Amino acid sequence: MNADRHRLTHLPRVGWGKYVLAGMILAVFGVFLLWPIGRVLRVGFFGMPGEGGGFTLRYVSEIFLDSTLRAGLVNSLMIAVMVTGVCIVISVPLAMMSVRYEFWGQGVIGGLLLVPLILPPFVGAIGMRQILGRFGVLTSVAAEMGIVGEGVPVAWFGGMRILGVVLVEALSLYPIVYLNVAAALANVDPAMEQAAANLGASRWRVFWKITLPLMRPGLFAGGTLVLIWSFTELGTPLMFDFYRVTPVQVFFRLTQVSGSPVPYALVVVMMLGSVALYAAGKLALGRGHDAAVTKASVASSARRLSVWGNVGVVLVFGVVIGLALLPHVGVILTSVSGVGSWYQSMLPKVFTMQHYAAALTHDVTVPSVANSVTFASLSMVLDVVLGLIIAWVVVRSKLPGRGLIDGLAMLPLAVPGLVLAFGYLAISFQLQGWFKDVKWLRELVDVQENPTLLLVLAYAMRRLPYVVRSAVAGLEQTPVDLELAAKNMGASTLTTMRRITVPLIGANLVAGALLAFAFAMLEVSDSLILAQRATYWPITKAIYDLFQRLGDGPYIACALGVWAMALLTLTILSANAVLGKRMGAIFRV
Amino acid sequence: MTRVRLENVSKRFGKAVALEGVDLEICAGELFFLLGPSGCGKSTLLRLIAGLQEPSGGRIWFNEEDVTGLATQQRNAVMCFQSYALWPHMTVRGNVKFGLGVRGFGREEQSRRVDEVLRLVQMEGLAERRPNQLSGGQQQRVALARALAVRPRCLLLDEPLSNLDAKLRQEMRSEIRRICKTGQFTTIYVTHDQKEALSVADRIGLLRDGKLIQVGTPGELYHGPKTSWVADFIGHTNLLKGRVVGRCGEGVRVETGIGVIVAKGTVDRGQGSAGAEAVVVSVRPEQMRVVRGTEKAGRNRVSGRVVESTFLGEASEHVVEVNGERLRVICTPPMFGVDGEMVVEFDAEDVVVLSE
Repeated sequence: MNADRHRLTHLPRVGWGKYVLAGMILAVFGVFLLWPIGRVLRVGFFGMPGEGGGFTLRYVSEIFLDSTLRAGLVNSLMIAVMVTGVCIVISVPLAMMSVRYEFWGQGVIGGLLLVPLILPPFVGAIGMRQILGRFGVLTSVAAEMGIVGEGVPVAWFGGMRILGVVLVEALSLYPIVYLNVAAALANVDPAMEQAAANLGASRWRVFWKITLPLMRPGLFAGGTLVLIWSFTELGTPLMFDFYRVTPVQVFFRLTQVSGSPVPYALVVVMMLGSVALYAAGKLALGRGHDAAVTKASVASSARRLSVWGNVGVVLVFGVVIGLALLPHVGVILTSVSGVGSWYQSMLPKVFTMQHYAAALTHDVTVPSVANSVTFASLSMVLDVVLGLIIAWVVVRSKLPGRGLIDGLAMLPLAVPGLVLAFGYLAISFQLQGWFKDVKWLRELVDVQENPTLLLVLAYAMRRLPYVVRSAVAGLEQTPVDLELAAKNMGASTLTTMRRITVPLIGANLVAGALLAFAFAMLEVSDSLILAQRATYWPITKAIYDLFQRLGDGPYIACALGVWAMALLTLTILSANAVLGKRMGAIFRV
Repeated sequence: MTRVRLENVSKRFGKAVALEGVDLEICAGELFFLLGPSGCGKSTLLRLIAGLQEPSGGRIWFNEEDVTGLATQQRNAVMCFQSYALWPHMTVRGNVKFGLGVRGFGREEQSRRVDEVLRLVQMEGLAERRPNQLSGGQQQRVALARALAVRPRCLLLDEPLSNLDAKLRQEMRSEIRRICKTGQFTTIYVTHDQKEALSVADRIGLLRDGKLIQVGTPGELYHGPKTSWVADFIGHTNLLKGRVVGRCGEGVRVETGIGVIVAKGTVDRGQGSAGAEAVVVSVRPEQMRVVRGTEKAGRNRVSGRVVESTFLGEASEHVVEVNGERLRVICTPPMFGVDGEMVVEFDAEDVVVLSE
């Protein structure tokens, strides 16, 4: 028995280790999240470093005095408000139907609703242009039906490209609102509505007075995400050649980053706009009701529908899904269409697979796929390591700063991707200044030389919240006794982590990692802004570049987009298969 | 073998006091029970001994070694969790082997010990199963085996039987005693079930509101409770308010609602001085005898009306109303068809007089 005791005494004492850990996490956030934002604010309000300027509102106010930039802001705001409005109008009825009714193919429909998430809106924009263009599919359909004359161009949005941008973004972003509203609705106790109906309130009144207020938290969460996302969306307006929006104006001023405070001030204004939108959303929707989180006191009231009810509901979902898949269909059809053969016709006149072959051999696409996989994998690994540590600190430790860490880990959801990407570009220049005498360090941080480091970090930061949330959920579902038992048996913190915690929340980590990987593969803002040399272009940047080329460029871009979609679908499906087996073993307690 | 000593141990969570000034010595190889109602601090005390929580004050000793500052990893005071905390991603063997691997035992030694403890808990046939393929009782055995495999200085059991059905619980009780005594482990066993404690413990420590109320063998606690709360918590009892009205031989005479009762052998406890002192008298239901016919009158004999009868299987319980006081009487073997008047008596030796 004594022998056993001696074997245990060499184990390290745990104590200050976790403080070091927390300090390191805070340092990571400080350097990779707060510093880039701070840098943008600094230059926006103080001018370029070295010019010794004090605090000034001059640069920011100049943005508002410039009529072009002002128009950009107004357009961006309009896009944001309209996209969010459309998303809410689409999502709320869908969410209510999916929570309240049982209908045919509910599982499949639920899955199809989320499909838009696997294609960034800016790729969908290419497909949408084919369909809504003056000589696009819709014109041909109209001509076929005799609504318009043969060969007459139709400007479906009255020449207002902004509506095209809104449509594409809304069709791509509505799942975010849908998921949040559905989650909020599922938490609403049906007894509350029943009580109102029981008191004699009409269905409309119940919805307006009870249901809507109770689902506000979901509307707020989803709505503000979409509001900020669409306000700062760069790729879609770019693809629609709609340049009079703030994000695109920032994009076109990237070359001035090293010498002028104007792009900084523009980003500052965009950041302030995001904060204002968030505040507006909070004001309109965010007054949380505690009641919304009470658990149901009566059994779920999902109602079975009659045959006609089923037909009706499925039809509604079918229309939305059909519309949402239009961009994808457009992209797929473009990718198999002969060059110039899909013009003034409903379908391409010539079908070909050559673009797929080209997408796999083209000197732009091949390295871009490899780059994206590399960047996304590296950022995923970073996310998993960081996410696990953060989740552990947040859920399991009693460290004083854990609330702050949790808040910081969620911050990237609220900070526009464009702002962060721009911030990274800004610190890249700053770092180059610091390291100008150390060649290898300078090259490491110079995005024009090699963006790998900063791009991977930017990807990782942007997607960290998903991994943290996922790991936090896993830890919260895992009884702490399982870890305590291991420590009580003599296992060190690290051994416990490796042999107990990680295997137990493995499924959550894999799920979070997959999301991080998939979104990193499709990241637009960081990729367009930080990847500057063609050798280091990721897929999204390659698509953007190809699209602007004449000849077969857009077709290859679409083929590449389809390859990317396929790759992502495959990743998710295969992981699901792998996980499926292990999930059974892990969760059947 | 390890002797465990607690010295003025206290634990506070914020402002709430979970434990206050606990002094306790548990002998080497003893099967010691911590008993008390839920929320009394018994599990907290166990966690302090395991090193899963730090005491707010006081010291904990294993033999002559002060372990108060030691992390749980270094104590080798191994706990069986109430939830068992079996790792669902490992087999039974993997679970049991874990602690041995952590301690750096060689592969052969590991399998030898795993086989040994699995045999001890009679689980050798199920070593390759996963925890979710086991019944509650089997899981409980694996949890025990996992703790025993590392030969802990002190084995800590947190309500080990609370998740089992009544029959299995009874079986496992004596099983645990057998295992602990065979391996000569110092065992501390937490429960809120007084029957469990009375039937297996060497000694029991009774906790209430974070304070240690009384420590003693099951017999001492049962027959000599220090307070009426202890008397009531350890088995059921009839508590009667009264006051001491005089002495008689080695005992005292107590005036109660059912008349004057003579108590013997407990004079020195409860009341310091005679005189009209307010006391509580405790008489166990099973120590009451039903008197039939014309038996010779004993010292304490009362008669009353039966207001309720319950058949308990091997015994029957009757509630007898005497002058408005209700007495519970247990008859073994059971009596049927009791109705109306009932005469009961009890010995002066079985009456415990407690200060109020």
